[in-house]
Amino acid sequence: MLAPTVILTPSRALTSDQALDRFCLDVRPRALRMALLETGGQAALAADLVQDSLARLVTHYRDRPEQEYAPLFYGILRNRITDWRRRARLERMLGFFLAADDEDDEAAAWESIVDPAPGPDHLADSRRLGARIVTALASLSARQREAFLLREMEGLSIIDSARAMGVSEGSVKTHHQRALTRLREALREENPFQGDH
Amino acid sequence: MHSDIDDGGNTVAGTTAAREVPVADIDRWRAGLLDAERARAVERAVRADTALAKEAAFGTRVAHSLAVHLDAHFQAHLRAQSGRHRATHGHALARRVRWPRLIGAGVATASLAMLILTLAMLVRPPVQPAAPGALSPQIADAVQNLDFYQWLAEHPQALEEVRHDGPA
Repeated sequence: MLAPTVILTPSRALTSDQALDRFCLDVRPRALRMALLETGGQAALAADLVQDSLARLVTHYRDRPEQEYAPLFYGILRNRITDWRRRARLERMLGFFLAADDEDDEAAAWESIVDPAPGPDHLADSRRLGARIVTALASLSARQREAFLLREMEGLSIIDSARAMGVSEGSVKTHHQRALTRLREALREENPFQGDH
Repeated sequence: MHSDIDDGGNTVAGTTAAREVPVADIDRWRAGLLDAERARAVERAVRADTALAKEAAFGTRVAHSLAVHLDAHFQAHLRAQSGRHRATHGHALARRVRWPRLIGAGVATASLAMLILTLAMLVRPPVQPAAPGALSPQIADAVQNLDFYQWLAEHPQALEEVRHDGPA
């Protein structure tokens, strides 16, 4: 039986299992945001995708070095989301001949995230801004959105982002730059992040 | 401090000292697309000017606002959707068949197939009789040598002589 890998930190030594557990706890809320965006606001589905991705990471990549957890996990999550999109597309085609009993009651999930709920003015402004950002992100291509979220929201390096996306480092840089440019244009009207605001 | 348009039509930001750094270059620097020398120059300018630093932090601030917005909505939607998700998850296959659409699609497909078959039969060229030159070799030989075979029929003893004596 192999001894567990010991990772030394300034304060204490962690086994690889502890490092993996810590990573899973840290990454889950951030990954939920990404999955929520990519699934059009379907919270339960996003939670399922993230949980499934974490389970696969723990099952198949437990013995990998800690620095590989992030690109491996986001690559798994990306593949899960892609699989879901393909199934959803097939179901939409079959949906022409099949009808769910409660389809008339379902609201568009994106609309429920984008529409700002009524409330105090300062909260309404914040919600409006968030809604504008979500709309602007939806206008990006999938690769641009992915590069932006991995680099800006998750803080992954170019190398880790390339590994998670399954593309070259140059592609990550290009997609990231184009995402920033398009977001600046899309958010220019409210100008919330430019000038002296 | 405000954003201006330079002679090249690029948006630049910040004070006079930073006017040589277009916003587009800041985005390229953030993405890692600038060469080393230009990247160092942009980094120095960003550190020296607060307006440029704010422009450089655009992506980070968008991401932060997005995270706050999504977190605020996630729990509420999870509670609202989880009940519907659990209720439908076990019945994912129990969906009504839209028979009118299915039958309509079947009729349309069959009609299209019949139409194509009919058109193929109409435009197929008619079967022509065999050309005179298309006769079998045996028949062609008989027609060509009809006089000889008529003489042979009138003189059967010539055929007997060939059988007993062999070919000449």
